[in-house]
Amino acid sequence: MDYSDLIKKAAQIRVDTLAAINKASFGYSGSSMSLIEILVTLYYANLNSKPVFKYDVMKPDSADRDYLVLSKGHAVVSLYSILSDKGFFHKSEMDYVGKLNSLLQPYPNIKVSGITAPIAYHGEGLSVAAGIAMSLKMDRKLNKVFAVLGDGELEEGQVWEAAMSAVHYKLNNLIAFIDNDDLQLDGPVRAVMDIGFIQSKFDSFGWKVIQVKDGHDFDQLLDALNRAFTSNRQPVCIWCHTTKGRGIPFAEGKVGYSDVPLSDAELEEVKNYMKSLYE
Amino acid sequence: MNNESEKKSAVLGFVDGLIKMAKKYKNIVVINADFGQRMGLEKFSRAFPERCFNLGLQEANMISVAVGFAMTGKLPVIVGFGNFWGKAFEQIRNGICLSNLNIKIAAMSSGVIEGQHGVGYHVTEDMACMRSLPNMKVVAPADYYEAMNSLETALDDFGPVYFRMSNVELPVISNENDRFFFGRSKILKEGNDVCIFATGNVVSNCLKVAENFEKEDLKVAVVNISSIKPIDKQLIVDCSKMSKLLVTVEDHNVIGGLYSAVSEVLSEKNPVMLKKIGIFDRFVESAKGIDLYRKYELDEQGIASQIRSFLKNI
Repeated sequence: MDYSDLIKKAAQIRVDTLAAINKASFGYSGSSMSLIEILVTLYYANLNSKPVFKYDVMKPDSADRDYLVLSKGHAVVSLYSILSDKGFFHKSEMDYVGKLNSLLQPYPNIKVSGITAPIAYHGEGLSVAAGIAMSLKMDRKLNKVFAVLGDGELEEGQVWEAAMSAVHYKLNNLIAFIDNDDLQLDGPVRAVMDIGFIQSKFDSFGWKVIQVKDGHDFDQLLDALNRAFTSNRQPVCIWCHTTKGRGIPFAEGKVGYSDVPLSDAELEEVKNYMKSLYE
Repeated sequence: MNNESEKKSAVLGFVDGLIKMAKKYKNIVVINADFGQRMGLEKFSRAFPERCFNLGLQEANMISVAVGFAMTGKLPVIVGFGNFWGKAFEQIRNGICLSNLNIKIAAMSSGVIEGQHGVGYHVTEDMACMRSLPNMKVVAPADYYEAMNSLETALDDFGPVYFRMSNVELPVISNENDRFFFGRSKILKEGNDVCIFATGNVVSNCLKVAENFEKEDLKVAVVNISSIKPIDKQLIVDCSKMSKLLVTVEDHNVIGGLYSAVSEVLSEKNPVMLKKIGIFDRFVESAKGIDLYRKYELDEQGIASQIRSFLKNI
């Protein structure tokens, strides 16, 4: 996919995600928007004419697949939108996210085809990703492990335990995206619990840190991934500056929209806005 | 019954069993948190150096890392000291049990037996916590061979299992060929005056108590409940119908452990009186394990005297 296709795909995933959250009448609209470009890059973009993220829709458990650990589990609906678009499960499942007896739970669950790691609570994902990476290294396999973490999540102590162990075991097959949208439920991350300068924190643990100034720009994300793939003996942190509620004109950067579904009228407004942009 | 003078720790049996099973299942990996040396794991790491991972003092991280290993088809055996239930309960619940992953957890020093390290190292609440997790099975082997055999059964089976063991030398009361089954308990000694349900570290003490009582013409049955969850309901009910006095003995808080597990069965199927011996909802000071057992009446004399007083008040 080229640049303009990726932008259109991101718009489509945004609308699908917001529609599913609206139908569930529960979900994290704002939080699900900030990582859309990161996920779209992984699933749709090519790097050096090879897909960034290896997966097989027909064989979701194939030994060659890469692993994605969505540590920011509450944004899982964005991932569901991509997986249903790819055909891992039928699109109609998206109408029943988080409802009684539904397949799609509001957290990444390995019963769902295409989900490669279970996450039920924040703070555990980087450890799970490190475990997968250790196991792949042990078998001398070349599969990659990607993790996506929110920035509020970095307040959890376990993230830093995982950061330490990833360096100890020289997990250069591990790439962690930090979705740094500067907001968490109670307000700006800086005001709730200042996590400080992310770059120097990961640096001092021994990670290779690549900063992406605009985490919604595919060129910058791909450039960062290109550099990450050549890492030698070090895990890589791709630190992405993002905007909460990105793509929803009236919700960008607003805490209030982070954990609520959009109303029907708001959803219609977003749909029209996306149409006006790309058609 | 085996040679009585033989004494070996359950932990040793677990490690020996692990070495045996690692040859059978090539995907077994052992993950531990800086307790390898103390728990005799170096025997395993000498045999399979590439299959041992030390995560340092990161219990929470260790559990989640094991989840990662399980995602790639490995069979992680987490070995640690016993404080996971507190330090990494959420990781065990959300990571392992929720997805019903094939991960085995071994707590190597449960109860108050690691007495001198202080109350922070006493593990007297783990059965209560682990028992309440869906999908989790809980096993408390009573000796060397039972640890080995229960590990073998657990590795042949699928799903999370919590082992509750201790690193003190206990008399060997089973033998190599005794097979272990989940949800099945064994009557170690028959008797119809008193029935003792015991688990883990204290089973061998209970056997001695029963033998001593025999001299006084009191017939005491001893049931080794090593499979705490699932529990052998039928055997418990049958035993409760045969004896005049029923007692549970455990190196665990009397809340949530064996006493609760047996009570749950009896209150539903045959509501009779059940007495308890264990740690009575309190913290225990730091002292040698053997001295703590004497003070809190979990050794032979203590158990015998408590049973005598129960008998008086029947």
